[in-house]
Amino acid sequence: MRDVKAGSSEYITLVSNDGFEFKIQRSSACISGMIKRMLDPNGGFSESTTNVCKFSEINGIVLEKVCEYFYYNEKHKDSRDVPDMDFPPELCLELLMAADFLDT
Amino acid sequence: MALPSSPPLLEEENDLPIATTFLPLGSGSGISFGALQRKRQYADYDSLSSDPVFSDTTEDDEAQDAERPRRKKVVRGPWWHVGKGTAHDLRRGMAKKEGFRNADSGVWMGSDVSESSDSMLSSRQRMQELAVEGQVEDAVPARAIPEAETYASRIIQTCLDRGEEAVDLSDLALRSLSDSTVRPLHQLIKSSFTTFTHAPSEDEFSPLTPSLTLILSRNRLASLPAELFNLSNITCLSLRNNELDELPSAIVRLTRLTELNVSGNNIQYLPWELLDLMQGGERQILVRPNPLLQPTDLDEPYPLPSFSSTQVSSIDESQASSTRAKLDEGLRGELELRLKLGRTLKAQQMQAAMNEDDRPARNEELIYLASSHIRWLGVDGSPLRRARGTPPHDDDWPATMNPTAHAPTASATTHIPSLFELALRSLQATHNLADFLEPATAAEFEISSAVASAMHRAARNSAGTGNENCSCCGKYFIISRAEWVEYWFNGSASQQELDANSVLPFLRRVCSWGCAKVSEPGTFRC
Ligand SMILES: [Zn+2]
Repeated sequence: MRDVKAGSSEYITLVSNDGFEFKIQRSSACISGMIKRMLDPNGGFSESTTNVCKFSEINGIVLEKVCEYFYYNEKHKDSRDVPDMDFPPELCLELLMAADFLDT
Repeated sequence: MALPSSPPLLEEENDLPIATTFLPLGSGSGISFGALQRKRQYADYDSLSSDPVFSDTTEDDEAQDAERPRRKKVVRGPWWHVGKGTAHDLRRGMAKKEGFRNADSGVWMGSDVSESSDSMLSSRQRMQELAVEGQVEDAVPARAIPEAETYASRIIQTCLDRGEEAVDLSDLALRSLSDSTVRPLHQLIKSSFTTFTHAPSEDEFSPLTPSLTLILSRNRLASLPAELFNLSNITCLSLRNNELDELPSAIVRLTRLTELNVSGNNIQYLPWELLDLMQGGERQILVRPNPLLQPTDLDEPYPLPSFSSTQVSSIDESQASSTRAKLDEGLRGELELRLKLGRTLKAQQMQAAMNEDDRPARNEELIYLASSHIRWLGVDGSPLRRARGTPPHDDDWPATMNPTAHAPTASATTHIPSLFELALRSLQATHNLADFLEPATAAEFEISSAVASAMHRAARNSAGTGNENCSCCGKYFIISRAEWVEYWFNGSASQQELDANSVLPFLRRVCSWGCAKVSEPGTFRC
């Protein structure tokens, strides 16, 4: 991990636009280029001190899947043969757009 | 039950699935072969038997939709004309989305919406049922086949009638060639099969396997129909003197090819997969002339390098020559050395193999020389925002000593597909992407241009030859995460020195940053 400054902790909170909160390991969530930038202590975002990221574009169901992906990624990060993760068809488009937004 | 028109390849063992299109006649048992593949084959031949030329109505596609994922779909005609049935999915997706947005009470409220989408679907089905007769014309007004192609189609029909295996479509001023025009070539030996009431045995099969020669030279083709790469019985393919910008990687599916001519096109680099066809040297593959990329300037003769001279020269000429020239000279020396390294390693392996079999050593060599810089791409396939100080991409993909310079971060070694890729694949497998790309729908869903272009690619893959294979791990992908060009020596073993005519560029595309690994110096194929 990078240098740990005041205000950073091992877990962060992701909040969906409909108020669902997900606590997740910082290192897992930082797979997302967007979240990494939000939490960067040198980035000047308020998220870096509160450790809470709010997403006005992403609803709870989609954000839950995103968190599932973070854990999937964490779990398999050293393996070469990774089973594909499947998503409910009706969520695919929103997930795609969320992934684009999150740079994940 | 339609009969297969492409017999299996008897000689080959490690073919890609597409080449092993053996279909058991009458029963679906006994062959360990992907069910998806089988369905597509059936559907293809069904459509053939009804109407060979204008077979790209959408009924087949719709019939298949329920049975298998969309990913494997071979769509006939441009993707934007296909899959009218899936507006239903789209509406249902929207209904779900609405339902979720209104889900404060915790109860899904979408019943009104789902009802209306059902009635919409049924009225659509009814319309299609009513319009079955006129559908070909109605559905594809934009696809009036140009005259040249009509002529090509007639030639193909004549060859089929006469059972001729050489199909000469040269000099027709063809600007395009559609899937439906070449598809009848699957039938080439179909008549011979009709007397069989059982699955032909291998002995019965082999004399019936046609060796298709397809001459498309001296036309104006800028692209090739995907269906061409399903004609696994092509043994000789000439694309000479056309306007092709690239040779599709699907060329590797034509495993029976013995002759391939792509000279006289606008090809700058070859697909990585062509190396597979080139190795072994049994095939005659002509790629020159083409505006092929060069690793560095190889036109000037190079003073035969020795280890000392390259090292000394970098000191001697420290201020006399430009940095670029000096770099090139060092690079040129490095290329020559790598050629020798590859030859040495190859000789060692040949020596070891010689004891086991007495194959005569081939004169033509394939030895890896160097790579360009790797281009790292983001989750949506766009170039990464580049750190300060890194040089801009060079369209000429020049070779470099350090291809992995400017790698994104040290942690970028993962082989795991991005969430973006996974979601896109799911979407491709379950929806008709063309629906989302209609301007009104795209606006409604607020689809960004980056997402839209990724969806375009996914849709194009579905309509064409399918998703690509990673040139490193072999897995399928839609969005490539890194690309580079590798330069390989391809010349005779007696050639002492590199020249512009003995080096070939191959484009590699990979599924993940972890797969972005250039070949090791000394790598060779034989
Ligand atoms: Zn890969």
